[in-house]
Amino acid sequence: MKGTFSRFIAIAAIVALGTGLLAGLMATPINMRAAGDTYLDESNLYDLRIVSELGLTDEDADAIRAVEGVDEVMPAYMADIFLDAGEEKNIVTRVHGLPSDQIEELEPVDYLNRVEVVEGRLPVKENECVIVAPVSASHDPGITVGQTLTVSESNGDISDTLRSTEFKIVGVVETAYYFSVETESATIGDGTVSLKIYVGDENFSQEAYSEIFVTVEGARELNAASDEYQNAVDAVAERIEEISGARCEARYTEVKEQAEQELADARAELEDARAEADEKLADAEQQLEDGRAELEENEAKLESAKNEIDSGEKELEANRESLPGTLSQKQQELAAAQTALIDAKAQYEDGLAEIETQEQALNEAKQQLEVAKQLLPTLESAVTQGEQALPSLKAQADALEQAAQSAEQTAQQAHDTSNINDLNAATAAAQSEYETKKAEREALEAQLAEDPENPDLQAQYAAAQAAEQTAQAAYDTAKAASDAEQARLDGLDSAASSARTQADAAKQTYDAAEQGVAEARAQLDEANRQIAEYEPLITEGEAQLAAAKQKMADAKKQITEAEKQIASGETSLSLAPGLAQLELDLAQSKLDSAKQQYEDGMEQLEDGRAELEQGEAEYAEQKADAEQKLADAEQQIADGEQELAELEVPEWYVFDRSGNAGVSAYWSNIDKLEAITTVFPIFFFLVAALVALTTMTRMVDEERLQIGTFKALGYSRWQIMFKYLFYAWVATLVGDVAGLAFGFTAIPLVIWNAYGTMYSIPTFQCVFHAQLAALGVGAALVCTSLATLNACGQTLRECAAQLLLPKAPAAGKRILLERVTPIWRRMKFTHKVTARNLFRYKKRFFMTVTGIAGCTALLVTGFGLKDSISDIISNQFDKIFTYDFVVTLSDEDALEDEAFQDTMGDTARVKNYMAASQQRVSVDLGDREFSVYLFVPGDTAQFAQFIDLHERRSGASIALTDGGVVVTEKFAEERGLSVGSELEIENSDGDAATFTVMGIAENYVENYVYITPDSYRDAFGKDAEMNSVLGILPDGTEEMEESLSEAILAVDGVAGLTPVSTMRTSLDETIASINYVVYVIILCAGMLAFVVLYNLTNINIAERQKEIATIKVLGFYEPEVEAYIYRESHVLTAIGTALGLVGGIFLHMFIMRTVEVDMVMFGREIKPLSFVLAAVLTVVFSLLVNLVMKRKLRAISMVESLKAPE
Amino acid sequence: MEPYVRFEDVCKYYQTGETRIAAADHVNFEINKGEFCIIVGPSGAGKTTVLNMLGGMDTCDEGRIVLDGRVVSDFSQKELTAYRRYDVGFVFQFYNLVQNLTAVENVELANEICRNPMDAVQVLRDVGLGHRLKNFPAQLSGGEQQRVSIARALAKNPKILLCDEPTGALDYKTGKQVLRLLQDTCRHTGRTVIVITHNTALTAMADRVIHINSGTVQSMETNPDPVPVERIEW
Repeated sequence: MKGTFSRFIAIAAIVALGTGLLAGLMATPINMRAAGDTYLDESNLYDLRIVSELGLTDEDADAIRAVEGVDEVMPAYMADIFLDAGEEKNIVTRVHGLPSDQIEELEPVDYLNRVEVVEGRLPVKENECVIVAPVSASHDPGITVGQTLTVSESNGDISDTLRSTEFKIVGVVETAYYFSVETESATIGDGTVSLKIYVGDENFSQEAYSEIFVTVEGARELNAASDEYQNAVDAVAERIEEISGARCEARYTEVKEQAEQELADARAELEDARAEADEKLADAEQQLEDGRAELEENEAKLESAKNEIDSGEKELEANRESLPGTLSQKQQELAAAQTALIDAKAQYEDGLAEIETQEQALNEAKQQLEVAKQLLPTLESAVTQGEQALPSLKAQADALEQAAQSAEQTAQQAHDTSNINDLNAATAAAQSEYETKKAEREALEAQLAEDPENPDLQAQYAAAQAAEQTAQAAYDTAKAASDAEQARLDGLDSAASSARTQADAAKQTYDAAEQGVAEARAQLDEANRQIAEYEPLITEGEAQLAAAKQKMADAKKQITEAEKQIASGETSLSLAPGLAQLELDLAQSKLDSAKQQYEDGMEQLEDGRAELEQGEAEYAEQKADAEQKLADAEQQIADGEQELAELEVPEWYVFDRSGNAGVSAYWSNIDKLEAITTVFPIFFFLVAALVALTTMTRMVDEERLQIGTFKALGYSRWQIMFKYLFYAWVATLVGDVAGLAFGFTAIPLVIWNAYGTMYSIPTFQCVFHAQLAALGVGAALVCTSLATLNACGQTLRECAAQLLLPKAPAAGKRILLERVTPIWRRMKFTHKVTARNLFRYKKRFFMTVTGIAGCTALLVTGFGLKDSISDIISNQFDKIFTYDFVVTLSDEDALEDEAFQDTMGDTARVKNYMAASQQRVSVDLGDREFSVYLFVPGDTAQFAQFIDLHERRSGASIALTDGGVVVTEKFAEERGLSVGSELEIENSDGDAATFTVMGIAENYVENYVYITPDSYRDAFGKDAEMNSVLGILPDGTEEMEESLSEAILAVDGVAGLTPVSTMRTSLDETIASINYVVYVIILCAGMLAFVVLYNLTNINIAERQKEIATIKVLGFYEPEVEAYIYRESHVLTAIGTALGLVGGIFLHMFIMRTVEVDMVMFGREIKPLSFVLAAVLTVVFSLLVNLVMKRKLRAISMVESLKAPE
Repeated sequence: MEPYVRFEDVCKYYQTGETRIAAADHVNFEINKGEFCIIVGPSGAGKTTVLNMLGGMDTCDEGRIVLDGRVVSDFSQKELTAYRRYDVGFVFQFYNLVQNLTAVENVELANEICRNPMDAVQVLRDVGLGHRLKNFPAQLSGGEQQRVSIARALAKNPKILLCDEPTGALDYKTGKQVLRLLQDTCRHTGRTVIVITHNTALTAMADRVIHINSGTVQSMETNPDPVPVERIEW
């Protein structure tokens, strides 16, 4: 055994790993359940909790107490209200009552759901409270002992719930009722309880208890996570429900009667009050009426007095004003008369002058007329003479004309008949004949001159001469005839022309005479016309002149009279002014006294009027007041009646501990953990068996000779085998001890630490579990024993003789790869050895590949775990929720508030905002209730700016439109929804509606059902109430400025404001705890890789010592020798790593799904870097093993090569 | 002429508990180039120790070992490896073939690391194994395996060929064939061959015989007229 230390260690180590993980992982859920059970029992946590719509009474408590199996009963008060803590407003708080009579300052006595003081003390006075300690720092609302909590204004009137409005924090407690980070849902605000406080019962003013807590007999002794416990509790719950019918009926009757009584009282009271009010009002009205009449009378009197004064004043004023006016007017009139007189005199003089001028002109006209009359007879005689001479002249001219015309006619005729033209032509012909003859003769004459002797010529000349003379003669005759004719014609023409001249002269003479007569007649007519015209004019002018002379005489008379009037006016004007002033002064004094009287009366009247107005205002006020009170009372009665009408028989709701968010989450998380814990140990045991198998096979092979010897000596097969079994057992047990020690302590603690941030359970303990230890040891022994038997069996079956011979070396075998000649040929021989070896030892192959693959898969899972969880924050708050803060509203009207709109609308501070309705509702999944938010955006068009809905795999964005809903991925997965599915959902009012799923959106934190406001209205029949506002800060603004949050919080109806960064931080902290788990996984993975590689290399070296020695002798350098051996583990590591990377994806998926809680969806992706890290770490582990084994390799002596084969 | 191989007062001690045993005690001998040398002696005489030191597998504690003018005894580990790699060919008693490689691959395995190797197939043909090239060692007889082993040593083209009881695991006839092969190699290639054996009958075939006993050279003789191995009987 000494010489085989490394293989002993290999078996022990893998067994330790397997057993340790088995024990540790399986012990953890048990420990956690035990811790939970102990804690809940110690805190005396309820087993059953009963609530009812109408509350519960002491009678109910008594009835429950009487139920069989009920141990303790504790009725309690509880309420959800908004509290303010200093600057922080509207914290959704759950207030619990503590039974004051049973608690003391520090040591509570016996009651249910005990609280444990961790700081300060318990409340003993009214107005004191303790807060529940936050489970993890990230859930710390930052409220400390000594602070005072005040009931917020936004609660409205809660006097029928709480008596006090202020609570001083006197301590911090822990309680099993709230031991988890899981939040309870509230009935107010955003639906999530963020602060829990306990106060003394006396602070409550509720008329009935809110809930009754019950413990079940014998339940405490049972493990709270066990079925026995559940059965015991369920039985009692059923019995309680059985009595609930009667109790509910009784409670219903009680409440109803009480309400009816109250209503009747209220009605009577209202009637009384109304009668009284009416009477009082009538009296007041009468008084006012009287006062009003008196006032009006006085007013009328004063009015008439004022009128009189006004008219007197007006008259006086008029008189005063008219006095100087009258005097001056008279003076002016006088002056005007004088002026008019002077004007009249001037006119008179002018008139006289004009008459004289006209007389003169008239005389001149008369003289001219006389001259014209004398000229007339001369003109008349001239005209007569001219007319008489005219006919003779006319006759003379006509005769001459006639003569001229006949002369002309004669001449024309002569021309027409004359043959002058023929004559002229004949003359011309004769002339041309003569010329010709003359030319002939001259030609002959020339010939004769040259030849004077030629008789022919002479003869011819002579003849020519003769012809010439004849022609000449003819010519002369013709000429004479034509000339004579010409002369005759000319004589006739000249006679005609002289006759014409005479005729024209005669005509001219006649025309001149005629014109002279016409002119003379015109002159005569003009003279006659002028005489006729002027004669009447002159007669008229004489008449006018006579009239003008008469007028002048009248004017002279008027002027004299006017001069007399002016003289008398001047005398009267000098006396008037003194008399008028006297009259005026008298009137003024009378008026002044009247005015004084009027003003006194006016003052009295004003006083009276003010008094009356006051009285009227008082009356109106009192009347409105009375009416309001009456209306209020009526409304109250109506409300009461409505309530009474709606009052239904209540029901008891009996919850067990699964109704507590913390308890149920805790149990379900343990179940999930358990699911994982079964996988790992199985895997490790598989690897352990493989390691044991290869190791023991090698060992048996090595000791073949020894076995043969023993067998030859007569030992039985079993005796020999026992030796090896014993060896395996010892190794296994050593491993078991180490594994159990590690498994029962370290693993539960690490896992518990990871959960520690979520639960505050002080009772966790690492316990030794004998059963688990037995299971682990047993499983390990079975694995190694089977492996050993398998390894020994074959060898032992051989007969002793064969065993004594060295084992025939395993024949080299051709492998598949050799068929691929191109690759095989290129491989080095050392590589060929590796390749053949790999396929030769299948057990080792599987052991190593499984181990390495497991290692890589674990690493992938570990890193992937981190990826998945750390990614959800950035995905959720950067990619999906693109808004920066949420404002929660307690009143929808805040949206209309001017200050709110101003603040949010200021784009320099808030880039954009949108109202939304978020209702936390429950969906029944069959096995459990699933909590989702029903999200209705205020503005569908803007919605995409605030929340980016998209499909996770494809990244395709999903539009939120009418007609369906978009659900988030986790919810869709749990509910089995796909696009097109129908989903029935209840809103917070309890109305149900069915929708079609239109899209499934990526989401990590919480679960949402998105629906448009229109679809919501269509489905539920009313608008969703907007209870929150999402806001986006301007680009580049990371943090919200304090002034902005203050401004928003100051608005009425704003309940709170949460920046997204705050949500991020709280998640970040939770996630940090996951690192522990990752470290544990890396550690396990490393150990796994180490063990298998160590074992493999160890066996390889041991088995091939001689081969190694030989190649050393052959002159391989150290690195070459190492490569020769390690190449095999490198290849196996590569194969294992590759398989592990794939396997890791599945392992990661499995774990993610198992550990996920309802509220969160972890990322499904593993980052590439994680794969790289996992692979690199695996390689590092394998290199580490190689490093360790190097020494062993070096130690192999070359002398080994000379030894005989084993 | 300077001898090819020379041992000068070479000592090698093994410590076993309190006692120190001298495996080689002032060994002195010389071998000339091209000689077929047999080192003979009884079991435990120290002949393997001498071979190990000459082959660079072991170091001497005292004295000098010179081969072809180089002082092997002064070599570092690395130089020794290079020396084994390039200058020495080994033939083992148990062949020491790599089981997972065929005959030709076993030869090529050695070739892979040499500077100036001979063709593996040719060498195998030369040793008469032209027909078993692709067989795995397990498919070959002992003599055949030893011939592969010799081929592997020869293919490296070493300066000296060291053979440790090459016939020890072989039957008489096969042993003779192997010895013949070694002798022929020496004669035909002029390579220095050193064979270790406890069989004195074989000395007749050697050019030089070195007798070793109790870690020292008892005698060294040269044989001017070695006989072919066929003529030797034992």
